[in-house]
Amino acid sequence: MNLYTQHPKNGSPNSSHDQQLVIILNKQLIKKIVKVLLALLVIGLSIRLLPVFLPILLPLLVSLVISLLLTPLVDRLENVGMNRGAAVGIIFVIFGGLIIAGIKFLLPTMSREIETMSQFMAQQDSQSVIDKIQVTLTRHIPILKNPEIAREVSARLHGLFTSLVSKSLNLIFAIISSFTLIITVPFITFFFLKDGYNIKKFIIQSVPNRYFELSLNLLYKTNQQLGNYIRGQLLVSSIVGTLSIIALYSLKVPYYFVIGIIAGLANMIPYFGPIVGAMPAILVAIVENGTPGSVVGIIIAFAMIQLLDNVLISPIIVSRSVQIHPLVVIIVILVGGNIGGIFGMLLAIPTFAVGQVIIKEIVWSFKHYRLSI
Amino acid sequence: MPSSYWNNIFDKNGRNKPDLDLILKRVPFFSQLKKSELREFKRILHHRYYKKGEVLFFEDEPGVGMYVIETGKIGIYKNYDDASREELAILQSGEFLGEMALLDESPRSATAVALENSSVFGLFRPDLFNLIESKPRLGNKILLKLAQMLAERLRLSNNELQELKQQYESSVIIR
Repeated sequence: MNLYTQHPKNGSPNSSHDQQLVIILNKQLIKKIVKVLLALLVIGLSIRLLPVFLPILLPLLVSLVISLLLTPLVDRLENVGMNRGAAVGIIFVIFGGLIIAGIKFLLPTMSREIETMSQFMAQQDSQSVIDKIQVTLTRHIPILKNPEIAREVSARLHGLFTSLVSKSLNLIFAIISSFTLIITVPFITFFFLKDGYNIKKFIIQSVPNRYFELSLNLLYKTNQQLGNYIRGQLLVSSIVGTLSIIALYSLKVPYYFVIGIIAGLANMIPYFGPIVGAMPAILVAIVENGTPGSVVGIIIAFAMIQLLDNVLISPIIVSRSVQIHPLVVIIVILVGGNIGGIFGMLLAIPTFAVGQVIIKEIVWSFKHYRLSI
Repeated sequence: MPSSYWNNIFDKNGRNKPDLDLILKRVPFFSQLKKSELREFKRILHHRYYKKGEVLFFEDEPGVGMYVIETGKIGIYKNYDDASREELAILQSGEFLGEMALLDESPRSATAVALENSSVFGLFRPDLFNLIESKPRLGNKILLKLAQMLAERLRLSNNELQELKQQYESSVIIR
């Protein structure tokens, strides 16, 4: 689009009068420039205000995920003729009861395990733990007897151990400091569940007409896909976690409960999750027993669980619409680890998958709908 | 900023306008609904305002649902952007458009443009599908009406096709 337009007067382009450029300010162009500037201002302000809103963002996101998980249950109760508010109340009472029961029965076991685990870590001189692992490794892998390789392995193990201890402590502190979440999340989730449809409707209502159908389509599709993905992932993780706890308990691996939960959570990471999940169990088995038999047992158990997951559980539960290339998985996990440590690594793939679904739908919409600024 | 934008945001009484029931009753899908069902149904409608010249949807864009005109006039055009623009219809208060998109996401067959400042009620596929799940009796009533209307159109098309075929055959015989 031209900013300036020449208006030749008297039909003669060479006359002095005609040489004067008449600048016609294009209203449309000015409008567009103002809009772009406004958009940039909004983006700039959002980035500037992000630290202020970040503490609100986390409970909002957690509440959104929980409401995505529980919405089908509330809908089902509403479908049998119950008032939506009452349906949300009933779901809250049931899940609140389950969580309280879980805390009452499982928390003592978990805290006992974490306590003994940290006592064990404190008692063990980190060097002696590393020595134990090294002895076991050199006994079964002869090449590690080479003094230079042994020194290198020892240094690496030392680094791994200290970072593991500090990161687990960070994780525990993060959980404790998230006390505010415990108060705000149920409150926000309640309203998301009760008024979710009206909130969605209000968002759509405030969209300009030219983007209306596009936004409507985008919101419904992403909502549906994300709901399915998150519900599927959490269900698979719970099943894998439960199976891991059962397997570790039968193999008499100490701290089976905490390690099983870690394995379930790590299962959300494609390709590497199962290895990450099995590592703590293998490390504990080496330190506690130092026998290859127990390690082999753990590897077989985890391999069986993975086989079951890949052949039976995931194909039934998780939709295959979210596919991530292995190389992308590595990069995303590394970036996640850099940003938020172990917690970041765990959340990296689900967050990336959610972003991927949203971007895919936005691209699809941009291709199929006519858009202009 | 277009006035329709703020009208859409601050639409406070859109759903409760007394004449909405009368307008909806004129639409075949909703004519059989009881008062309580109509009240339930109005919850899933989206009230939108379009100023003169604004496009409701473009030809070939994926369809999301249908619109019932409350006030104003909506023009339906083929090849809206081309010189070969063809006006298919001008719809007014109580009439509806885009109903095929309630069934699938196939592209819109024409462009719909507001010919004067208009207000419309949108019914969209995902909401209708949710309604079928949550209130099967109500959802099925609407679906049945939609199916009946499509069957009627198919019958008319078949009749027209039959007539055209007969005209063609008779012209071939004459020649």
